[in-house]
Amino acid sequence: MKDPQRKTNYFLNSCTPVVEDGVVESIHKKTFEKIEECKEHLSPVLTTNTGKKKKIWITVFSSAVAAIFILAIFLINYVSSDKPFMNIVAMTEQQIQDYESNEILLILSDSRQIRFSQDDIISFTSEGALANSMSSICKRNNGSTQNTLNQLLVPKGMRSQLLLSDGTKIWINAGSRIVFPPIFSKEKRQIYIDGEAYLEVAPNRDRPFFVTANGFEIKVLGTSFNVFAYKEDEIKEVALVSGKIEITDEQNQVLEMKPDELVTFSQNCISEKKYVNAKDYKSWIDKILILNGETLESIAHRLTLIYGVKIVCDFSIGEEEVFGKLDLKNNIEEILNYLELMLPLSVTKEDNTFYLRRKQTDV
Amino acid sequence: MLERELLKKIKEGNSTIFHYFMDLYSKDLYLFALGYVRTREIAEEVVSDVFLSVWQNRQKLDQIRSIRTWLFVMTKNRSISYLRKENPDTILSIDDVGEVDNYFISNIQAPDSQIISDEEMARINGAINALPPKCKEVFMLAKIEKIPYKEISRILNISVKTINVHIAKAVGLISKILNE
Repeated sequence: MKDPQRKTNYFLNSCTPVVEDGVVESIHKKTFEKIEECKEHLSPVLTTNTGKKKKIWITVFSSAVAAIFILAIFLINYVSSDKPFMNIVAMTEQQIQDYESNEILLILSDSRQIRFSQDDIISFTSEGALANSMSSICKRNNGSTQNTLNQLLVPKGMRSQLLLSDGTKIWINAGSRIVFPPIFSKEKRQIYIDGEAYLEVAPNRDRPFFVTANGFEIKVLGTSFNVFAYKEDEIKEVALVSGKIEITDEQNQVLEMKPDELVTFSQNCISEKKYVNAKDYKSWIDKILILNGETLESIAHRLTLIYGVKIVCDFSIGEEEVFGKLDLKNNIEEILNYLELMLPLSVTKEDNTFYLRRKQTDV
Repeated sequence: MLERELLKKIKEGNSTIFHYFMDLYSKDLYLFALGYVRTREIAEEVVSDVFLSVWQNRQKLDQIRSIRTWLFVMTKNRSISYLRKENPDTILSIDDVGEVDNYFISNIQAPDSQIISDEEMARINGAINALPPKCKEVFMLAKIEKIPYKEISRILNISVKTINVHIAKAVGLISKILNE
């Protein structure tokens, strides 16, 4: 009687599940109740400016009466001291959204931009000046200092090495951003990482080293460890190779790590701690990826960053665990061929995207 | 209002605009969450958690490439965490990478029973819920939430081709029922 195609279209365009009355209102109400409850956790990154401030902020906020009073104190602190580190980090963020290029870009605190290639080691002298030869070419202009931090952007498909003014050495993996001051303050050293980096922090008991990542902070006394914390990724990891570090997550959970421990974060909270061979987690600096049962899906994601190509992993095979070593000196085709040998996998390339699917056994 | 302006206002802490933002996404996220957690109470919890997280992270909102993708991904993750927490060992098994072994689409209704009869609708609803879970997840996002395939591919981490296969299966089933 009626055109079936019309019916199908009508179904697809006009029919939806009914949302019960009051759901939207109830969600509004719950959200605002939660916002009230979590007031003391609001914008935790801003409160992590210094450990001391953070403590005042949290302990007193548990008492509602004193809340406004302390907020005022906090605001005074906040305004009078130099701008909180994370604020500047957030400010510089806008300049570089989706930085895609084939060059490593260093933006200095005085807005000078310097490009590097893959093999350059970018190093700073103890006075905070760039030690690379080209620094003599770029004269410092004392005019407009926009922010007081340097930042290094490493695009997908590239890696870089950075030597900071205090002697700390950092290997930075593909698709990452590091923000750091030209010279560290007297009391502490602080940097920000979005992405993956392996750090060998120069020991200095009087000036602890802080790494702020998205969702957690690491306090370091002089050690080496790997941080895997891409802002867009749900899962973040820290692997400690040697020394001792202390981690604080967004819920202010504090955890002390010992060598060969791996801490995993999910939704910015510490979710798991396990024993691993931590050296495996920094193998990428030697262009090797050691796999200890990571899922194919997570490996595809890592390769996407390392090689700057697009890899889509089908759900039918994404959970396959992979063990072995990948030599990152090979090109991406060779790596995928190798995975094809290890797994029931078929790789196809369409429009510059690699698709990984389960190999069809039956015809 | 453009999404950019909207997010800028939220970043500035404008709670009126935040209400408006919640109005925009509440129903969609609620329906999506309901598919995992099944009960109204928990779905509301999940969505309000997601909005709380938007508010808490409002300073960073402009760094997110697509706010909608982000919201849906968070809704899925939150739903799964809720399931894990609430029922650590019930029928709902969820594996390590967050694949659920079932997804549920609540009854779809036709505003006009002249075009599709109640009886046909009941059969469609039955048939849809008998589909494999992944297919239902895709169908929910593509046909009910009307999200472009490219975005779904990012939300569920599957290829557009796979989405096509799932959708063809679901739509084929529906038009078959309506054809009889």
